[in-house]
Amino acid sequence: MEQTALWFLMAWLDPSLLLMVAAGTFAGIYIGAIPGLSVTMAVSILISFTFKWPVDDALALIAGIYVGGVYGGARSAILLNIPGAPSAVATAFDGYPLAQRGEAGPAIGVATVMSVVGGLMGVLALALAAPVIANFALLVAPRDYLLLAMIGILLVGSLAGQSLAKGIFAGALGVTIGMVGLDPMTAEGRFTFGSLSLMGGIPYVAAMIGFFGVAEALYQLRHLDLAPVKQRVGSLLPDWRVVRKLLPLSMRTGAIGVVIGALPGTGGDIAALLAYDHAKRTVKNPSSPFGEGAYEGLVAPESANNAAVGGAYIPMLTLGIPGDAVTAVIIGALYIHGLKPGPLLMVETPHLFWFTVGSLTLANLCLLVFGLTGIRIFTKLVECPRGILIPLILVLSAVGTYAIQNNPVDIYWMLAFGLLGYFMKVYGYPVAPVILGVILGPLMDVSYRRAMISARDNPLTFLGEFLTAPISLGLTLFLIALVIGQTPLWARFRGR
Amino acid sequence: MAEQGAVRRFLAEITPPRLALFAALIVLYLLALEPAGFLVSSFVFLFAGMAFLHRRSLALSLVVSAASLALIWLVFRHVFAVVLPAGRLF
Repeated sequence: MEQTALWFLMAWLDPSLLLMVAAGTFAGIYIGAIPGLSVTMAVSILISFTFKWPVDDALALIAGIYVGGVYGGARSAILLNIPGAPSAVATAFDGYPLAQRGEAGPAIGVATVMSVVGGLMGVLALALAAPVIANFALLVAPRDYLLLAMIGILLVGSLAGQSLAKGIFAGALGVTIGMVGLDPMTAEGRFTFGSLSLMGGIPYVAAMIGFFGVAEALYQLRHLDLAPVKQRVGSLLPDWRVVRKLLPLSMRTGAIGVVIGALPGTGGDIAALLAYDHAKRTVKNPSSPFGEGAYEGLVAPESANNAAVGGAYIPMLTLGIPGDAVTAVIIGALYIHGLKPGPLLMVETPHLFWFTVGSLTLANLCLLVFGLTGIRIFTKLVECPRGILIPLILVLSAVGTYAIQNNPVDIYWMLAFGLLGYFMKVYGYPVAPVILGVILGPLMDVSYRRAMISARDNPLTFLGEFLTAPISLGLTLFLIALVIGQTPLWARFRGR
Repeated sequence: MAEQGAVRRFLAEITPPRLALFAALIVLYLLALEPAGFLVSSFVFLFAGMAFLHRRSLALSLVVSAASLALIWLVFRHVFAVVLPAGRLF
């Protein structure tokens, strides 16, 4: 117990770790708020810069950036009607009308307080649920990992993109990229075409930076000319009566956020949209009609997307399965630091879990402080033109990719994935499933092989176990429901 | 003739000229990164990129690219201890 408290307080008591969390949260708010920079982009680039650091410092910084970044998007959504991050799309629906009414200051204040409420709920859920899931994680058989990974890729593919087919394609592409290299069981070369440089596999950091950094920057060149609208903002302090009145809604949508975050693959962006929808359906008398500046429509997505942060850490720390795109990148970071994310992570490095909980809590408190101050510099920085930002993103992406193993070939991989990602975006293919596929592909590979071995290479026993083991059966049914729910069959069934 | 118009519209849709030019600039930058070194190639790329994408004033592009490159170099060389390509030509 005492040990747990010490681990929890590690980030609070060590001045350098405290600085990491605070600086990360502060930087995260700006990264999230500046249209064109995203948290996934920043974390992908950062893991290659921090790989020489102690793992605690790197994780503290990433936790801060993650928490700050998910919130930061709200500020530019309210002020400029441009969601700075995908998780703030729903925030703009009611946030911008509030700003037009001259209530930008109080709106940002309410969004800050409710983000912190949601964020703390997420951390609480992580602290309570993860140890329980970890105990039960050893019961999770290899075939369940296979199912969980497939669910993750399908979920993000179907909810984030326009069509399930495009999502499946993107996920499969990622799995294929992850398969290149030596077979983990027999050390036979796969997809190497006899080339020596493909034997070690495709560097996944180059893929992440390519898809999230370069592709995104190129895609933004298409909309270079969107001129932001300037806003004048006074005090950021929220109206506490509004806060008290909307607290129950904030808790409800926070709970939605935790659950969506904890599902493999889905994160804050989807949680926020679902929470907005929930608020719209359940709140009978909003302060203004939804879409015209209702505080309810602002609170729901903001609580949910920050709650999803804690939620997303749950499957990542207990099973090694990412809860969303950012945690997929964090898993990459853990591998680089020589840790093995999976059910043994909490057994082998128990301090890591409570340290993460502690730094996430701290990051939320920093968010409360930074979120209610510093609006003047903020409005100036957010208006930074993209024409200046995009070349900078490319320089950072190139340095980040190069830094990981000082290999210039990685930069060409990054460029190739960046160009590929750009065309995928133009034609409406989501890129997040690709990265999930890259991270989860090797896990699916090994899980499938292990499950096959334990079934003594008998396909019938293997398939039979999907129906006889209770966890596997539940996951199988969920997977089937997920696929059928996306087809016209389901729509027809509901219509009847 | 109508077909030619369709081809042009298709090309403009998938890669607007600005984007194709900028992508070419990126390729040049990444190819030059090793031989010319990080500082020289990044400076040229940043200045050219900003001057091309943000057509306001050349002086501003020059100042912003020099200042941000200095910041990037200091932070990554000293805070993150990253080895940056030093260049063979200079």
